[in-house]
Amino acid sequence: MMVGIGYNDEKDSELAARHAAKQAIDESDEPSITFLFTTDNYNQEKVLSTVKEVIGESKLIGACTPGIITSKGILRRGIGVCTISGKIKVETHLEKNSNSWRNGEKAGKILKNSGINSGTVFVFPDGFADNISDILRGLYNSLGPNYTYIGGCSGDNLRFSKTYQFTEKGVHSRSLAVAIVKGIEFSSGVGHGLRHTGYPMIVTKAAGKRVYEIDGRPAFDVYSECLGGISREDFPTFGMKYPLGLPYANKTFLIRDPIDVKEDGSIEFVTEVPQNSIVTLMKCDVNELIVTAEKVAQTAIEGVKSPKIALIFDCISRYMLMGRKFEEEFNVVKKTIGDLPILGMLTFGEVYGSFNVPVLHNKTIVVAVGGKRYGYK
Amino acid sequence: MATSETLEFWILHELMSFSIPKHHNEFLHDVIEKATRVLGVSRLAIFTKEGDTSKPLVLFGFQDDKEVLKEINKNKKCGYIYNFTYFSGFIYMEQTFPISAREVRLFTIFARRVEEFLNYKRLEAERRELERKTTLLNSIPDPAVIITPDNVVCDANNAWLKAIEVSPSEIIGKPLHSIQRFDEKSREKLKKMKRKWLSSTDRLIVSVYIKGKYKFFEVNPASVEGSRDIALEFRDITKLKEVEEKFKKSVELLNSLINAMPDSIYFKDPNGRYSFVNKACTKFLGKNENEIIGKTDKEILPPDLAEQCKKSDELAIAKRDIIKVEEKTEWKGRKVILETIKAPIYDIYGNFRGILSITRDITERKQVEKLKRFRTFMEYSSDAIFIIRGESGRVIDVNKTACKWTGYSKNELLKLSFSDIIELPVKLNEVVNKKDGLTIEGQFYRKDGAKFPVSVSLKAVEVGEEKYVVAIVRNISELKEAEERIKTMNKQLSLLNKILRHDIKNNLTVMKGYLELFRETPEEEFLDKIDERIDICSEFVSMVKDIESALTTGEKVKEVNLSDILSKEVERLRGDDVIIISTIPEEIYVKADEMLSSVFGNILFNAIFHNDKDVKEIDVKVNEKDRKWVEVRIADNGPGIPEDMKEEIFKEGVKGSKTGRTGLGLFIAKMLVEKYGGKIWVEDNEPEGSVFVIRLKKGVSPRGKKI
Repeated sequence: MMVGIGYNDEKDSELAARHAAKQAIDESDEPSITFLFTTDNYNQEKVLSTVKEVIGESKLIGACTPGIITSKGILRRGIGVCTISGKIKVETHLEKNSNSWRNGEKAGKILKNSGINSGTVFVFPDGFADNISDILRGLYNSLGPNYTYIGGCSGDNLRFSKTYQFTEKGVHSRSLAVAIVKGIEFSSGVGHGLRHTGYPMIVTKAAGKRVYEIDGRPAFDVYSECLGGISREDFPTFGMKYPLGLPYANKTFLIRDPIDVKEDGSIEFVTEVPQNSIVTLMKCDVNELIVTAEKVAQTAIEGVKSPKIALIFDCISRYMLMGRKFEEEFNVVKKTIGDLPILGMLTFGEVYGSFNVPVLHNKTIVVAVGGKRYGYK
Repeated sequence: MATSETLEFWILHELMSFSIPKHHNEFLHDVIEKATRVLGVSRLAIFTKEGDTSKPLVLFGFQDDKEVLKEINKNKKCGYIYNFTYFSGFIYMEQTFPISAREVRLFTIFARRVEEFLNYKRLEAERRELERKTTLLNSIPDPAVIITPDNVVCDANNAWLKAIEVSPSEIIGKPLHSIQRFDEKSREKLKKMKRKWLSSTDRLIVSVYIKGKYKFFEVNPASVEGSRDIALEFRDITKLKEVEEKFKKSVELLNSLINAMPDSIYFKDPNGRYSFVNKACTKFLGKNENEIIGKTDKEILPPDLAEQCKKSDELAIAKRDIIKVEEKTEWKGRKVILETIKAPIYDIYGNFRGILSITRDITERKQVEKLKRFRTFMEYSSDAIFIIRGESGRVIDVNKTACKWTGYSKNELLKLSFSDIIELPVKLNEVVNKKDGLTIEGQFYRKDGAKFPVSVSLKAVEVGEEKYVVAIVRNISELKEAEERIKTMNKQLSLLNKILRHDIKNNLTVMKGYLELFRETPEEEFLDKIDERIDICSEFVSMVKDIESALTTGEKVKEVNLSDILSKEVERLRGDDVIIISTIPEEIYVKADEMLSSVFGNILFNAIFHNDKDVKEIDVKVNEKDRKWVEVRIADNGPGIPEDMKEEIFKEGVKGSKTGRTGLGLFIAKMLVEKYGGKIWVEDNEPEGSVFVIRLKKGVSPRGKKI
C-alpha cells in the first residue's frame, strides 16, 4: 500500500488541482482510491475533471469544505488530494438531492450490491441537509453493522449557501457521497471535550433540527435564561460557545450546535434534536478540547499496526471557537500520530459510529488512521 | 455537574418519553433514534403476532425478517442480544458488546415502554378500525355487513338489517352463512366464499325469502383499511333481476321473431365476417350456423353475388345510411333476384361496428309485378292477348279484345283451349320449351264460326315453377286484303306493262309493215289496215286508261245510279243494225263507281262485235234479285260461247274468233265488278247467243231509301 498526499492553494482551479494531484500521485503511483477536498473558491467541475485526468481510473470521493487540513496546517483556500494505491477494493456512489432516510437507504443498497461486505464506509453528506441523522440511519439500515462509518459533512465558507460532494462519477450539490473501502484497515477515534453545565431540560416541542420549546417555553427564552439572559444579537457568539448536549449511550453527550434563532423563538440546530429528549447546556474549555483531541488521535493510532495515512475530520466550530489555539490542537494531533501523511477537512458535522450506527456529531474531532490493523500481518 | 445517578435519571427519562405520534412511522422512528443514541443499540427489530405468524413491524440494520430469526437462533445464548417478548410480539435489540445488567434493566424499561405504546397503538388501531368500519358501514347506502375472513359477522348497517329483516343479536358473532333468511343455495355459496372473498372474481348473487317473495342481492366485497375484516356490500338487484328476466324474455322473443322471419337477417363485422345469422339465412345458404359464422361473402357466396355484396356493403358504409339494393344471381339452378336492406351500425362513439342486412327473395314478386304490368298492357291492348297454361294449353286469362274478337265471354274463354280458338301450324308445347319466342300466322275462329287471318306472337314464361305461354294475336285481315290488292295491282300493272310493251308495240310494228308496203305499193288497202291498227291501238290506250283508273283510283265504292249509266251506254250503241231492248227501272242504285260505264260498255260492245248476225239483237234487263243484289242481264243473239270458254273469256288477252280486238274488255269488266264486290258470268241464251249476267250490291239512293 502506498499513499500520496498533495495540496495546492493556487487561485486557478486547474492549476491547483493538477499540482495537488500530481504531487499525490508522484508518491503513490496509480491509486485505487483518491480523497479530494476542496474549498469553495474553485470551479468544482474543473477541479474534478483535472484531478481525474491525473489520477486515471482511480475511484474518488470527496467534498467541498471551509478548510483543508494538511500537515502544514489549514488551507482556507486550496485543494487537497490523497491517493492510496494497493490491493484495495473500492465502490463509490453519489446520491443526488439527498435529504432523507430513503436517500441514505438507497445509497446503502447500491453500495451493498457491489459485493464488498465489510470495510470502512466514508460518508460525506451535505452539511445543510434537513435531517442528516436520518440519512445516516437510512444508510446504516441498508448496509448494516459490518462496516465502520467515518466522515464529515461538507460545507462552504460559512456562507451557508451551497455545498458540493463528488465521486469519480461527477460533482453535485446537496447530495451524499459515500464510498466503501476494503483493504485498508482504519482505526478511529472521536471526541469533543465539552462538559455539561446547568440542569437538564426537556425538549417539549421539536421538529427535525428545529427546537420550538424547551420545558414548555420558547426555546430561545430558555436558552437565554441558561446563559443569564442573552439577546438575539448575542446568539451567534454564545451559540458557538454553548451548544446543547443530548445523552449518548456511553454516558457521554452528543453535541448539538445551535446555528440560528427564528422569529418565533425557536432555535435551529445543525441536525435533529428529538422531541422529549433531555438536553443540557454544554460548555467549552479550550484546553479540554485539546486534551480530548490528543486522546482521539491516540485511540486512532493505537489501533493500527502499520499506519500509512491519517484522515482528520474536525468541526469548523471548534476551529472558530479555538481561534489561534486551534493550532495547538492540530500540533498535538500531529505529534500523536507521528510522521504520517495527513489530509483532512473542517466539517459541518462529523460522522462516526461509536456503537456501529453512524451518528452525526458536532464540535467533535474524528481521526481515522489507515494501515494494517494491529495484530494482523 | 451531573452525577452518574443523575445521568442515569436523564437516560431513564429519555427512554420513557415518547410523544404521542401523529402516525405509526413517527413512533417507530423515535424508537430507532432512542435505541441507537441512548442505548447504543446496533440492530433492532420489533415483531407482532398475527395468528400463528410473526410479522415485522420494524427492522433496523437487517436485510429482512429472516435474518433476524437467523440471528435469534444463532445467538441464543449470546449476551449481545436482548429479546423481549410481549403479549403480541417481541422486541429484538443487539449491541456490539455484551449487555450488562444495567443495560438489561434499561433495555427492559425501554421495551416495556415500547410495548405500552404498541398496545396503545393496537387499541388505537382497533378503535380506529372499529370507527372506520362503522363509518364505512354508515357511508354505504346499500346494505352492508362487516365479517371476519372466517365469515363471522362483526357488524352490519341498518340498511342491511332492514333488507335481510334480522336484528343485530341474531347475526353478530355468527357465521354469515348460518343466517336462515338466506335460502339454502345462497347459504352454500356464502360458505364457499369463506377466506376467498378478496381473491374470488366470480359474481356472487344471493337471495333471501321474505314474506313470500324472493329478494336478490349482488354481494361486492371490499377490504377494510388497516384490518383483515371484509366489508360486504349487498346491492339489491331484485328489480334488476326482474328487468333482466324481462330483458331475457324480450331477447328470447326477439330471437324467436328474428328466426321466425322468412327474410334472411345477418350481421357482418367491420372485417366483413358474419357474426350473426338467423334461421332463414342458414336455410337460404344451405349451411349451418357454424359454417357461416366467421366467414366472408367470398367464402360462402357465388363470386358474382359476393362481388355485388361487397359493392353494396361499401356503398352503405360510404353513405353512412340505410340503403336498399337488388342483387341478381343464379342460385341453386335458378335465376333469383334478392332485395337487401343494409344498415351500417355505429356505437355511441361513432365507431363502425358492422353491417346489419335483411335479404328477401323477390324473384316471384318481380315476376308478379311483371305480370301485373303486363296485365295492364293486356287490358288496353288492341291485340287479343291470351295467357295459356303451357302444359295443358288451357286459357287461363284473356283481355277484353280477345273477348270482343271471339264473341265469347271471359268465363267461356277460360273453359277453352287455345287451339279451340286459333288454328296454328305448330303445336303449343313446341313453344313452351323454347327460350325464344315465335311469331306465326294462323286462323282465328269466332264463336259464330267466322274466321279471319291473324298473326300470333308466342312467348313462354316461367312464374315460379309453372310454365305459361303468352299469345299476342293481331288481326291481319286488312293486311291480308291489302296484300291481295297489292298482288292484284301488281298483276294488273304487269298487264299494263305487257299491253304497253307488247300489244301496242306489236300493232305499231304491223302498222309500220303496212306503211312500208304502202310506200312500195300505194294501195288503199294498206291504208285501211293501218287505220284498223290505229283503232286497235287507240282502243288499247283506252283500255289502259280504264285499267289504270281501276287500279289507281283511290275512291271507295259508292252509290251510283245504275239506271242512268246503263241507259247511256245502251243509247250510245244503238244503231241501225243493232236492236237493243232495255228494261231499266229508274233510280236503281248500286255500289260501284264511275267505271261502271266501262263494264256495261265493254259487255255491250262485245255482244255487238262478236255477233255474226246481220241484225244484232240485244236485250238488257235490270232486276232486283233480293234486298241485297241487283242483277243486270245482257242477252244477245250471237254465236254463243262454248262451255269451256265461259271462264276463259274473262281472262286477259283472250280474244274471240274475230281478231282485231284487245281481248281485255271482259277482263276489265270482271276486274271492276269484283272490285265492287259483285260478280260477272256468262250463261247460254235461248235459243241462241249468250247472256252476260252482272250482279252488283244494292246501293242507297240519295233520298236514303234502299231500293
